[in-house]
Amino acid sequence: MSSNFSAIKQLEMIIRRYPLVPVDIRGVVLDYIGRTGEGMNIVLRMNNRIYDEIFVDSTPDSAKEFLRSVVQSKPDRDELSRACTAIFPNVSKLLGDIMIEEERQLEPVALSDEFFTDPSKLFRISCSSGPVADFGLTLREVQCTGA
Amino acid sequence: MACLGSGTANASGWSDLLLEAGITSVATTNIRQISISVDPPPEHLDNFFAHIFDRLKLDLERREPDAMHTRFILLNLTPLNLCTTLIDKIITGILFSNAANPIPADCHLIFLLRNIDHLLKSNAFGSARASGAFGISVSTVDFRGYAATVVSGTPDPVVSFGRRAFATILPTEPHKVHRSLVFETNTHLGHFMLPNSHVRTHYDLTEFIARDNVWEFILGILSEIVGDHFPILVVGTGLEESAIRTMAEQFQSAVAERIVTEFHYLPDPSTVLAALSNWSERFNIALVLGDIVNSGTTLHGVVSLLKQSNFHARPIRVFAVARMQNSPRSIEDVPLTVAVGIPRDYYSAKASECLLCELAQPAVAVNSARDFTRIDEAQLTPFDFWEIVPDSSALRQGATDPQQRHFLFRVDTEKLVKRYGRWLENVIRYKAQQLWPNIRPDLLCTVREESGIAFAHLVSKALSCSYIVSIPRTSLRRVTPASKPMSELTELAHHHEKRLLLVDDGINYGHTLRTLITACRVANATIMGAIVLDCRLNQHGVGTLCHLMGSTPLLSLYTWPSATGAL
Repeated sequence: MSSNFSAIKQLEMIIRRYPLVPVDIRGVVLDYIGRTGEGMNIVLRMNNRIYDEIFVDSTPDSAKEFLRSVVQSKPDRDELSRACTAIFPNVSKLLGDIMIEEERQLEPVALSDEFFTDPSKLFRISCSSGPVADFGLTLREVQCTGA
Repeated sequence: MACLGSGTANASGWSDLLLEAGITSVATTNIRQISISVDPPPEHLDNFFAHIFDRLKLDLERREPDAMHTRFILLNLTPLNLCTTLIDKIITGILFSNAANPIPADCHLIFLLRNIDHLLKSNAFGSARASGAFGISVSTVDFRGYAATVVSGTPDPVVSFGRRAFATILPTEPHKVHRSLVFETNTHLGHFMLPNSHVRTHYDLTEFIARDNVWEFILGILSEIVGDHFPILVVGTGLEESAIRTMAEQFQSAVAERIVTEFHYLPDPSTVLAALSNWSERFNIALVLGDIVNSGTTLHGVVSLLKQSNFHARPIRVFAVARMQNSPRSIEDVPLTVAVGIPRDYYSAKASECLLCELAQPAVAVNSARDFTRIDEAQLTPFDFWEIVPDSSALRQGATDPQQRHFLFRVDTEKLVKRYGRWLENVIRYKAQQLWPNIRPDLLCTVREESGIAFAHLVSKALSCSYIVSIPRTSLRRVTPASKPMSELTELAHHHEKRLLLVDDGINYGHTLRTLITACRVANATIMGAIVLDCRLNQHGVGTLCHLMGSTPLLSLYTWPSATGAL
């Protein structure tokens, strides 16, 4: 029986030997990153086939959803994007798309009529309705706060 | 014709059965398969069969009798584990419980059994025959191919008949037999080191060949490859001795009347058997039976042995229950016939050439069939989990869970339970024994949702704990540490002195388990721990839940912590 079994080592071997090992590689990568905290670029360097499968051969939406689950904060995304620019360009491109989409999602919020009439609905904070000036913030500042 | 309780059978086969058994000489065209249940079940078994027949009579009365034709009622009792006592109860229920309202006289009642002697030697049946209580024609047919139509006052004229009808009645199509092995038979996943190969899976062949459809399929193959050659020497070999012996005995029994057979089991080809040295003088054919073929080395040894002493150029046939996709198609130039092809590879016994060794999958050296059931403490390993997930199509992307929460990625545990439940049950049993040695829960508590209940049933079977309390999500949402036990939870309150095991199919954020813990605390139940299939919390999150449960353990079959908290 195995007292010295290492799940991380096995995950690493699976990643390196994929697709010879019949597994769901997205789950394996999520698992590996969850346990080790390694960056996505490190995983992709272990086996280029994974880059093809997740970021080239699958749909952009699916690839973006995968990226959202492995990197959340803006600094982490920036760092990953920089690390991938040269060798894994699709990762950088998709991360750029994610950031643009998230910024776009904010634009209509800042400009809609509802923002002026009932900001609490949009920002999910409790406040009395009133002119935006009551917040004491400029439009740009409000947008950043919402983000 | 009405056939009771055999909804999966092929209906047209029933007509063939009556023709072959000589019960009727005309094909029956109008066949209905009826499943009758009695709800709630009566207190006594005698009443149960009386109720069954009351329902059947109601059904018969609703349909106009056909003056030109007899109405055959075939009662399929093969799913029951029969003994003469049970047969007595069935006969009493059918023939004596409601004398004022007997089965219509134009009916012919047929009992399908595993052995017609169970009926013919039943006391109740003998009494009914002696008293003339039948009032209708009664026949009995069995799976071995014997039939008797009972006539009062005369001996039972037992006849034997061919098996063609059984092959039609039972689901013997190759894909259904394949499904029986791969999806419905107890499976073990691991890294099994056999003398000549390494394999990833093992299937319980004894359980597999005990199925009627599987055996009928195998018998059909064996009869075909043996043909008209007899007497037959049957030689079995392989680790699955029990399955091989059963196969040989059933084959001998099936052909006993027509063909002389002799069976020998060789644990390995080095075994010296005097009976084999001059086999070709005594037998006209040799049939080699194997279990699952990997490299074919074991069968190769036996076939080679038989060839060496085949002085009269007798044919040799080789049959195995299953083979792997990269196994040889012939053994010593003798074609290998199998019932099922397993869509997996076997690996070399050399560690440097074995993928399982390369992945450091915990290994078990197999010396007997029992070793296949061993589970390693490291299981489920990442390879175990991430192999069964795609095989069950269980990784969901961008899906919502039963609580309508959106997840980027989540595992559908219901699918895992459905596809790999038999193996997970073994793992749960082993892990629970390690974690709670010699302690069994008195009751299980889960949330009343399909996925939670499916997993709770699996845990229930694994730990032999049949009492499951399921709490609706709506009740869980209302419960707080200061609540009084709600109506749904009063059941829990009755069991506060018992050991309660919390069951949840998967932990994402841990919210469900937290509310279950609170509900149990409100009901003053004694929590012995919790068990989940997959857990996405890190060590700290798991520790918090254990603390809430009074420092009792949380058993997660697999943990894959989220990297970002974004699930």
